[in-house]
Amino acid sequence: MKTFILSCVVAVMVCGIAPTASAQAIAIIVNKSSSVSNLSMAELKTYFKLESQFWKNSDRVNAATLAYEKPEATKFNSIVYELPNDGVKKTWIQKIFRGQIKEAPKLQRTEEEMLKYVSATTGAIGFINADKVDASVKVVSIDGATPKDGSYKLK
Amino acid sequence: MKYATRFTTLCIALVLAVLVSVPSLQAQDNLLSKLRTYGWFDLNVVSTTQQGQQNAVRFDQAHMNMIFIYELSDNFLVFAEPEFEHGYSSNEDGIAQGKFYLQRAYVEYQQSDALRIRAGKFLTPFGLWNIVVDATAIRTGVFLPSSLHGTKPTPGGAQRGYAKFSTGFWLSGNPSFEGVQLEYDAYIANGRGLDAHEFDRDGFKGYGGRLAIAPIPQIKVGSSFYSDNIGGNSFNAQYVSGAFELTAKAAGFELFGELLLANSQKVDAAKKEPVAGEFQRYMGYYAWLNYNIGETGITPYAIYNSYDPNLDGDNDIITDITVGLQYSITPTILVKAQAAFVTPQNSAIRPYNVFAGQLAVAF
Repeated sequence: MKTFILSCVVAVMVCGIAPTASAQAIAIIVNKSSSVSNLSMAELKTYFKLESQFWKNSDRVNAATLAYEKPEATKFNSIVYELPNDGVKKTWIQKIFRGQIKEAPKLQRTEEEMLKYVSATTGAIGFINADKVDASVKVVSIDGATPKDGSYKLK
Repeated sequence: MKYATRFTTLCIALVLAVLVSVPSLQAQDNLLSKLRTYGWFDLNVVSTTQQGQQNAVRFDQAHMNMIFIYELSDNFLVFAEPEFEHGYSSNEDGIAQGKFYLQRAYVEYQQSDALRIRAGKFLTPFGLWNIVVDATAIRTGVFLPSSLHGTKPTPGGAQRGYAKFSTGFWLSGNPSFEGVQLEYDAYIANGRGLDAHEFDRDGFKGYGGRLAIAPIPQIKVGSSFYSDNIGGNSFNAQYVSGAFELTAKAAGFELFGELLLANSQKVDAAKKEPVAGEFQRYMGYYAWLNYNIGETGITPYAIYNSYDPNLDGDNDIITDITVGLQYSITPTILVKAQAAFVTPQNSAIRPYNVFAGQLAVAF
């Protein structure tokens, strides 16, 4: 009986701690009119770093970011920019002063704002917790993997 | 028509004209949403042991720049940057202290990542720093290394290794090929004549370019070229310069290095003309290392800087070593403190130190 109870406790703990594959995944979302359905990690970085400011169809890339205080943003910045939040802010200032970009990616305070911005803006690209994605936007796979896949790199 | 009637008609017409010409509130909102403003500010504290300037501790509100970017469309924008230097002020008689001038003002058309065209006045894209020459809020170091970015003696007077500003056309782009990032710049401008930004009376043009490649994101190498004819006391003497640059970033370290080689045509002051085929050769270089300590915001840095104003002359090399510490209070508020130890090769000139501190803010 003790063994059974202990097993139950361990099972509950494991289930509680271990997240589902998509719970911690960050989904890359684009405007529904976009023809993009997959990006390589390298391409994703150049778009979010605004090194590439145009999509292949010549539309302007309208990148958006979640407020830096959000854990998703911190995780995204460490994976995509390979920088802490402060380093990312400094990068935007440098690029603006150098005349390379006209503004930093649009800051969205909440995931709802992000969905609203991406769904309403041609050429928009943003990111949110994969669990918060709705039908108003299109999810882009990264290196062929979706947020539900084990090999997905934005987790 | 009576005068009174004419006057009333005129007033009504004027009021209507004003009403038509003033944009609606919504239109004004749209106009403002297209305008972005940024800028930077710095305050320096400098003390030197240089002969003749000892104990001269001075405070210098060195720069106050505003950047205005107005988005005309997805592809067009206007960029303007007025700069106030050294606490600019002027009195009733128009006598000014400090400087106030337009650092950059251009119209930009960006067709793609590979093609951007700018027309107007711009900071010459030469080397790593001239394009943000005064923006102390985005780098360590109170001053830029003098080997590349200071003025040097030339036969016709002190000059930079390139024109700081250029007025003309500038083509640039940053295409990428298979993950390799390329940057290019090419420009034609008035050059350093008497009225470099207005009437180019001498007819000579300044031109140059820059090419840089980042084979991997952590390393970028590049080279710049510049040529013009310098007016004024140089009597349109020819000036040609080239520079090589290196940027490397890894594990919190940032390394910048540049080498400048320049040829300036000699001048016959009596005849007031350049001497055909005779040049003074210049060489300068520096290595600049930053180390960002984790997320503390603390960045120690060191700069080794050296230049030889005349490669054919003796005992004229100047070398300095700078060590400093930068603390980022926030990503946009920096404080710096540094000491530079300057050693002239000529033993007749006493070595000296320059101590400097800086508060630099980006906004």
